[in-house]
Amino acid sequence: MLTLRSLTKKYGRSGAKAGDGEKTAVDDLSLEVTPGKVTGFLGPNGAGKSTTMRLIMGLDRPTSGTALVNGRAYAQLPYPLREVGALLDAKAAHPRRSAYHHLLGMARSHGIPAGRVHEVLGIAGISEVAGKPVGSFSMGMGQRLGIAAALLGDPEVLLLDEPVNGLDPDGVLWIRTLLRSLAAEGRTVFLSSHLMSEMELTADRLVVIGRGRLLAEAPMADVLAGGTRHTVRVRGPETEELRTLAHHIGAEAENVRWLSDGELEVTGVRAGRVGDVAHERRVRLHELRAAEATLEEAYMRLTSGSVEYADQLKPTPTRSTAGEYDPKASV
Amino acid sequence: MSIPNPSQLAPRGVRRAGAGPGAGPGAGGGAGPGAAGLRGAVAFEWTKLVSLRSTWYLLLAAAVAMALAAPGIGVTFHDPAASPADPAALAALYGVGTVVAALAMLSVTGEYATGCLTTTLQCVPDRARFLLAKCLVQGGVSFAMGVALGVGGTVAGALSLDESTFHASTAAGQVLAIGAYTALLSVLTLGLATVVRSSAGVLTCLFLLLFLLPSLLRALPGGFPADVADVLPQGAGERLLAGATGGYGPAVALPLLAAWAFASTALALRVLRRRDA
Repeated sequence: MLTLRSLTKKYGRSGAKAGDGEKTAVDDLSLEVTPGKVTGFLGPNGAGKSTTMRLIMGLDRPTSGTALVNGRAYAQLPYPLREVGALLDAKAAHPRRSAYHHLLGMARSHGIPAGRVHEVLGIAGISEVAGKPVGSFSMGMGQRLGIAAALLGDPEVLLLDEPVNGLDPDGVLWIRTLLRSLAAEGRTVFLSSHLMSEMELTADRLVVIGRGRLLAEAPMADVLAGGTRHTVRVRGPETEELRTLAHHIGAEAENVRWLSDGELEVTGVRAGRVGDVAHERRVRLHELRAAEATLEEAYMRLTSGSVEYADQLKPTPTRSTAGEYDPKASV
Repeated sequence: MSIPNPSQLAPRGVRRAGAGPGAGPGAGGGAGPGAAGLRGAVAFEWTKLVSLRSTWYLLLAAAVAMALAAPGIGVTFHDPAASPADPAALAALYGVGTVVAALAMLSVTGEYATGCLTTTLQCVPDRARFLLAKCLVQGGVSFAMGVALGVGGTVAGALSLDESTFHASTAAGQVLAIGAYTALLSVLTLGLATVVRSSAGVLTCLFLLLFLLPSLLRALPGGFPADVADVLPQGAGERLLAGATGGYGPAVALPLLAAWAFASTALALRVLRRRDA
């Protein structure tokens, strides 16, 4: 169980002059992450996901508010590894120390027997390379070592920052199965990712943040349902005719957008209605299809406007261009 | 690369499954005979220290430095009253001690440079315990290494002295003093490294504090700057190891050096508690 209460982290000159080079990474974040579920932690780059996790782990000091693990601050836990296993940075190990000794040192800090080190090496599938220095590991092996370290104390809470980064498809499937089974055992699993498709498959609950603020906290199904805003793609041979359609459907649609000269995206109207209007106005269509709502779209809508690096992250619904949004459709 | 059987995940048969909301505060904490606390933190530091090859290289380098420096200093002595441990003491004071202290430095800067610190603080989140464990391990290793270097250096020094007087108690005292000096210098360095975080920064600070600053102060006119230089760590080391006189003797030098080490560690703890890791 993780409990965040008004958690706030500001960087830069605090106190002196507000706004003067000060940056709020986590802004008044309150939430509970409950046992028995995989809770996905989503947000664009720079939204404060990693900072939140570092605050929970007592690595960074909150400016205000609290982050509690099983009701206590991390630093107050007598045996932290037995309560929280965390993968924050896969390469949080000395590159010239062997994976085995990395884990053995951690185990000794808690009086965990060396046999457990071999077990987690086995669970993570890196027993054969345990004697090799961590610096020689690939990204995926580093992630597996991080997972092994997180499981070492058999903790009730698991905190994973981007665990599927660098894993091959085999590894992604492995992590997904592992996390699901850990949650099924009644553990609290909190994982951040920017891979929304992955989240859709793994998480039961979603916490979405943007610019350090909580944007949504809901069961996955609700978030997906909330994202079901009717979006219809229309393609036709004549731009002029499509313009007529755009004009007439525009009155009842939320939004009409040109994806290219021959393609429109209509939001807030069902595909059938678009077809009817096209028929009434004698607009020839070559394609008319309802776009399926995905977590990605739900997420994009939630986070648009709170995107930290807007220029780098173009494909938000309001500012995307045809090619990027759906390359297949613009052929 | 197999998919784990969930039953593998709780092999120690501890509290588990359906823990649900009932797994309230402190679940798992305090349970079991685990040796967390300071003992665990010390075992952790020890494991980290001995599992890096660089540790052994550095200790070897210190031994080689002593093996070269003690006879090198010894041949310049022409004093029938000289103790065979004198060259070793001087070698420890002017260089070999800092080689040993580099181990303490690397134990901190290495963690910052590699990101290993994140793991360490996950295991030992209490900053005071973290620092104390490092001081105990590094101080202990440095003391043992200092004594070993003192013995070896005394043998090497004795061979190079054309005349000397051996008193077992004097030599043993000197060897212990070398151990104490390297241990305290290591702890001082450890504190400094925690504040500064980078190896280059620590080496610069150490060079300034131990060698440049005393020379500068002594070059200044008037007695006061020189007095200040006398109470700096190196001034205390000179009284402890090199028989320097003036102001105070070895009985004060040792606690003074300890006070420097303590001050450095106290500053480190203050910084650690305030700073984001």
